[in-house]
Amino acid sequence: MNAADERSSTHEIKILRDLYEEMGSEEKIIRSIKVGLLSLRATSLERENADLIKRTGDLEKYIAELPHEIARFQQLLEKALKDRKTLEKLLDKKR
Amino acid sequence: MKNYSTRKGDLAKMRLRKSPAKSIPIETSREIVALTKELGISLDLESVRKVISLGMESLNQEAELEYALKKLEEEKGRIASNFRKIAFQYSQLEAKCVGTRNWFGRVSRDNRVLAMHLCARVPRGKREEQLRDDLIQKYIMNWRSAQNQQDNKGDTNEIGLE
Repeated sequence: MNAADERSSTHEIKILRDLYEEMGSEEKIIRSIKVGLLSLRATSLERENADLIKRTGDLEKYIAELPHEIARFQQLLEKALKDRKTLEKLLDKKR
Repeated sequence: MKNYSTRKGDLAKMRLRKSPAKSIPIETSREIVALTKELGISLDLESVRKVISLGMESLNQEAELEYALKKLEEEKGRIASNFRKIAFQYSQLEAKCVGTRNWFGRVSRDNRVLAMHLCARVPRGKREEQLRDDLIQKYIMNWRSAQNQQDNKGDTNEIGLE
């Protein structure tokens, strides 16, 4: 989009002539556009909020699972460290 | 010789007469400009038609919608702040989980190397022999069968000692 296009798109709206005539006045058109855009924005915000709530719920679900996973790895780690000591002891004795 | 300038002028007039669109200035309505930018939409002929139809069908008044938007923005702020807190909590727990898992992986790999050294040694006594066999079984045999299973599944987890 070049500067001229951008200028025209931000300072004026093109509307089909028959629709313009049907609407009757520019004020009514502007008001309808505003209400239309506001309801679009409200719908979009509702969706964004629902999406954020869903993502928060997913994270809470993972958060509930992680402590069990950490405990499982800690248990395995403790066993592995104990095995290391035994292995080192067995290898040391043979030297 | 053709008169191109006249022909060009005629075409322009025809386009003007047949033009289906009418322009409305919106300099005074900064809100419309801001909303279109926020929504990421361009107000071309088709979009304007749809937005006007949406505006006419809307059961709510402008003021009601503005109030609802304000409430939704506030709600979004609260939800986003809660999401950030939860995400931070999650990232900390995840880091702890990954750290423990990696530590376990490193110790297991070390143990595998030590168990391989142990294979070459002759045990002294029944107890040592039992310990040696158990550790070789755990760190070499079990690891190999876990690796084979992962290869068959196409899994890339290298620990295989769980």
